[in-house]
Amino acid sequence: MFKLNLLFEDIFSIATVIPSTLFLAFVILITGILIGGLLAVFRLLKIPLLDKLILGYISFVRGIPLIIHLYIAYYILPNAFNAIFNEGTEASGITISPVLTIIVAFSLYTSAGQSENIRAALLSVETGQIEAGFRR
Amino acid sequence: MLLGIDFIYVFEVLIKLMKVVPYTLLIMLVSGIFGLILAILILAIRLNKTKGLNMAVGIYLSFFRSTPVLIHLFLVYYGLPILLDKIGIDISSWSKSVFAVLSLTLFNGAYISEVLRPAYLAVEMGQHDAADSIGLTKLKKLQRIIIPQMIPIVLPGLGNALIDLIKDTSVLFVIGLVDIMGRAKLLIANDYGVQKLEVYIAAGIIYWIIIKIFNVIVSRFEEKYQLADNQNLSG
Repeated sequence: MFKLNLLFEDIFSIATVIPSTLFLAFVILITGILIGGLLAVFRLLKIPLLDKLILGYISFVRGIPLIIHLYIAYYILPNAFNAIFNEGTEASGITISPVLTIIVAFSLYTSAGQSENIRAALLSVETGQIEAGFRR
Repeated sequence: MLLGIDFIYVFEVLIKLMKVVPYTLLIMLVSGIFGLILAILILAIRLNKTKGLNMAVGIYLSFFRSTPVLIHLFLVYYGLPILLDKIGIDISSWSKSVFAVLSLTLFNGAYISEVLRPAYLAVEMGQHDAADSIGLTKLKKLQRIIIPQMIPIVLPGLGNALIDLIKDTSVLFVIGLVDIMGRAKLLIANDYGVQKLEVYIAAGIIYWIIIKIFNVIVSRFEEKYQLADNQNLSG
């Protein structure tokens, strides 16, 4: 059943996709940090309704396993594109590339965690430092 | 209908999926408890620096902390029967739940042991020396001096491990286990895959509620033990 030479063959054939996997991870990390940073800054501004919305979003995203995010993104993205670009009138015949789906779903998932990290980092800087920055 | 989501169907599916929540929680709790026991064993081996075993544990930790749960699941489900068949033990008739619990336990044990170790090391050496100097036995020392000081440090990490464990149960459907995701897959198959989105949204909501509840429980515990810790310091 188990053959050692097959194992090595598999390792080499799987190794060919390492660059694209790493590249995908890198893109997701960057977009996740960007979205997370935006969310963190918005939360620090304390805009009444937006604050609650972002809190709800973070709680939802962090409370759901990654695989469900992926499935929901896979089935909701074509509908969303249809609603935006065709104003929902035409039947949805749009297909969205799996790579784009992964980037969108994973970025949103990462952004929730990153926004908490970035918020904590921003809050850890004393207010005195910020006030000193305003003074000329 | 917003984005073509049928919210009434989401609600119907939600009620159907509720029936498998106890099973999912059972899998999670059993693998959580076994994981904790495994983690304590690993910690004991690593702290005592048992020769031979220490290196094996190091390799185990390194492997399980750097591979996804999905791969552990496949390795345990397809690999273990072949491995044990060589020795002459037939486990092919075992329930899928056993394999699921086993793979989650192995992953969670590695995870939790990395939570426990820094907490153990965070207790000062002076505390050990003081306990030894008044003649406490090793077990009494752990029970009355070391573990009470570890609990406030360990709780946030354990809470995270628990929540990660709940999320990790969502991949168990790949070996055909009928937990929340497995049931969702069955519902989709029964429906000829017409309303996939609604089913996944319902599954998502259920996971959200479960994790929300566990979050509240964990933070209650954190508050309680944080208070006890302060009392110790002041008294």
